[in-house]
Amino acid sequence: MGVLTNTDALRSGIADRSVHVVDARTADEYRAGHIPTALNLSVSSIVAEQNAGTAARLAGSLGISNNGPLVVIYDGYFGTAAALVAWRLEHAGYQNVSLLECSYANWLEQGLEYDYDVPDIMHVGYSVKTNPSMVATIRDVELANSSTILVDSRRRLDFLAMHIPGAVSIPYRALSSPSSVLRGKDELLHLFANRGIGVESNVITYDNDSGTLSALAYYALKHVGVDGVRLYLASFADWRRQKMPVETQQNATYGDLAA
Amino acid sequence: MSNSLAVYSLPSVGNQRSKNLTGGLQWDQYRITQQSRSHQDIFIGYKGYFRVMCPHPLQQSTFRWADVRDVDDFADKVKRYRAGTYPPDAFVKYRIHNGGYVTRLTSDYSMLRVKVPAGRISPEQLRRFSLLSEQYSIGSAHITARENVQLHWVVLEDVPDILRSLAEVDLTSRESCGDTVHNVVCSPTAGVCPDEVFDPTPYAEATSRFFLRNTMTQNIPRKFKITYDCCENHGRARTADVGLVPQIRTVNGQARRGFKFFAGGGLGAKSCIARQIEDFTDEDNVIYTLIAVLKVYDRLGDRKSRHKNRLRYLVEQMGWEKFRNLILKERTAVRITQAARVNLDLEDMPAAVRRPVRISAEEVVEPGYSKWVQTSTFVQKQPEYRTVFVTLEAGDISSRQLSDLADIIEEYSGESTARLGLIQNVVLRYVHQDDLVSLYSRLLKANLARTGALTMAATLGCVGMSSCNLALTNSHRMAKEIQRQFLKRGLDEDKDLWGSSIKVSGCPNSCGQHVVATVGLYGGSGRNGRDMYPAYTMLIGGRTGADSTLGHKLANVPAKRVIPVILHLLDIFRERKQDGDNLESWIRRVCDGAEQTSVADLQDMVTPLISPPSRDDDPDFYTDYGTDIPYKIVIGRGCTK
Ligand code: HEM
Ligand code: SF4
Repeated sequence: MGVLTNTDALRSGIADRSVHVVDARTADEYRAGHIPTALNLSVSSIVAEQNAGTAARLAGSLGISNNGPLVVIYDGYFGTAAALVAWRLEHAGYQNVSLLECSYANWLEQGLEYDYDVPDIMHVGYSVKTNPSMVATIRDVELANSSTILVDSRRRLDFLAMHIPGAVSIPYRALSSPSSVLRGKDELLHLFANRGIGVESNVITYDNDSGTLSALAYYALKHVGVDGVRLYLASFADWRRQKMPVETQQNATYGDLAA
Repeated sequence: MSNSLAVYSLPSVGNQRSKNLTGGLQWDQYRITQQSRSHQDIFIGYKGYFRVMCPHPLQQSTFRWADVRDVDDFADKVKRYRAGTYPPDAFVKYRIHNGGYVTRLTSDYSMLRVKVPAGRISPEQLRRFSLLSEQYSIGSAHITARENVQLHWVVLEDVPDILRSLAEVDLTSRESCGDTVHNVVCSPTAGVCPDEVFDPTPYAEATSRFFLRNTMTQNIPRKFKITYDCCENHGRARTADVGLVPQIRTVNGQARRGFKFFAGGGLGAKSCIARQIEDFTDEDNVIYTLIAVLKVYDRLGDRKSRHKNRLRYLVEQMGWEKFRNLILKERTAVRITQAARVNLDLEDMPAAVRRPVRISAEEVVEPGYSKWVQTSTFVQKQPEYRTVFVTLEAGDISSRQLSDLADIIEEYSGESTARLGLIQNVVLRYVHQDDLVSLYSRLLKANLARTGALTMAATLGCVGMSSCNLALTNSHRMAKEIQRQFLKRGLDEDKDLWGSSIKVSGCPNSCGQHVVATVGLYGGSGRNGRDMYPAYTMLIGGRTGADSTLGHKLANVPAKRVIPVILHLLDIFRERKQDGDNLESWIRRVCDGAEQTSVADLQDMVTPLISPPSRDDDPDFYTDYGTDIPYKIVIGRGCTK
């Protein structure tokens, strides 16, 4: 299964009821209009609890089971919220998860259909089969040797101010284009190659704390075939809390260049 | 067809043919529309062969500033440099030539300076900067004082990808830095200025096209800056290597276009106001005269000591008269041996001034509107139209603002395009006066409706310690702090301060043009016993325009005392000014010794404000803006060794 589902595939899936559509935005945003048949599983409800089972429990309560039809997830703008919901579901054992290639904003721009109906929900049971190979712990990050590349998904200014030693900077906005949550494979491969990342590489992604930005990076890497990618979910906030060493771009006031 | 560079060898150039070519420079005149502004045929015929920069000289081709071959080449060089197969020094020179400037104390990052010839920038290009600043830079872009757009803290390896994306919207960074002809600047009010005799923009663009990738200018002794002004007072012709001011002259009963032609100006160490080569250089002679200056400079300029090899040093060394005669003689030779033909896109007004229609329900006049109209807009020579100056903070504009601005330009500017200004700002022209209320509301929403764009409040500041290797102070933040204080205190409304300016550089190099400001500041340091603190040398009385003048040194002012000292100077002025004075005219008399108050008196008056407190009393005094680390001097290597 591919990382991305395109709009045509989603629309025919909706028509023949062969997909679950998941809206990762807030309940308010969802109520104000969403893709037809979409269920609302907001990223904030998932982030609220770090427990691996949370995503599965919430999905189960919406009638989405871990061995059911393809789950296609979208959010408002950048794909970061959708990516984290997807990642948490996959991590809890959902096999069949993908990201809608465009955001809801793009969807509306293209004049595609939307509605306000909340579909009838058939509660299903859930089971959790966590997938540990998707996660990196603080130990993994600490012990990462030179063959593992750390990707910092935060904005460039945050990276300059402070980052995990040895990390490379790929601001999450570099992963998407104005019309798609992930840029074309060639462009992404370039971006990664510029940081020494190839399909054989081992990569750990991180961001500030929630894992949204780094989940998008996780899927961007998967998308171009970098299978050895893991997500450091607790991210930089955890690294700081544990008083781990950091690297800073010194003697320059780059922050004052921001508008 | 793009501008594929073909070299035609014509072994037997017939006399007839070369006559045609050397018959003089022809400015082919086109009236063009936004969509089709594209013509380019530039060719220079040398004896025996000529280099043609389009498939066929007589066939119109589409000129593009950008060329993807530059991009591929850059990508290749970065790879070889990282692999150790391209010498680091050669690489630095190469990347700078292509606009990839060094960044403060690191070789991992680059600053990318993208030239915007004559400052004309389209909404599409602004949107591209919006995207790229977020994807590859710090989420904002920097608009410079010479109509460039800079992306800072870009990963060096990403530069080719950025260049490729820029090429799609026909932008190039080639020859925006380095030992070549930098961006050709044109006054942003060219075409709308009530005082101008004609619009120099097409000449600026043609000049830019002519020299870009021209073999003649790929390795001159040092950088070379050309500026076109609209009139005597708006612009910077006299502080450039070559500056041109439009003139009309009747020759044999015919009105001819031409320019006052200045050369040898420049800021930095040994700042210098340019002198006039001719009071009228006919338009037919402009390119030839430029070629002559560049050839003389190329041949005689000092290639040994980088610190003393701008054109002004050659002028100094030769003496003005000798230099001027040599240029004129060289021009004659150039005219005999070379034919240059440059197509001009002549348009005095946009082909069709669209007055964008919008459904406006009741328009709400937002607070601050009249102050904004008064201090940030300008009445054009075209009746009913205004030019709107969008002032930023030291030229920084966020990704979001860039895309908002693109929409706003499309909606409100009759020419659907914008100009970059000369003080790190953006200029919207052909705004219909009836649309100002609604435009103000739109700009407010985008946080782009600052007042005081045309006043002393709009402080200019080089990037300084935020990105530049040579910075001694955080001049960028200093400029922002001054502007904020001026706006907070409503000083932009003070008519006595109109016509004055504040400009800040982080070191003596003058990228912030401090020498030509009413109040100019350049970074340095001060010392109190063992403790160092950031400081600025303050100059007063500098100005641009017809009587461009360099400022006089006033005092070495600690960074944290700069604002109090400026405010104190304003108080002194208010006390002592005479009827009809403004700050500019008063300071001018002070500097000329034509006032009771002398520069030395002013020095005495500010002295009490600048003596350093002890570190214990005021630790903040010993740190620069934007940091809490006690001040120390840290600098890296200069631009090119
Ligand atoms: C030896 C090194 C350098 C010297 C001597 C130098 C000197 C100058 C001078 C004299 C100007 C012209 C001001 C004017 O007439 O408009 C200028 C412009 C400028 N310089 Fe530098 N500079 C140096 C290095 C740098 C560096 C390292 C940076 C930043 C990374 C920088 C950024 C700028 C900018 C932004 C401008 C405004 C002009 C434009 O838009 O092109 N300069 N520089
Ligand atoms: S004036 Fe000095 S500090 Fe400022 S950009 Fe130029 S070289 Fe750097």
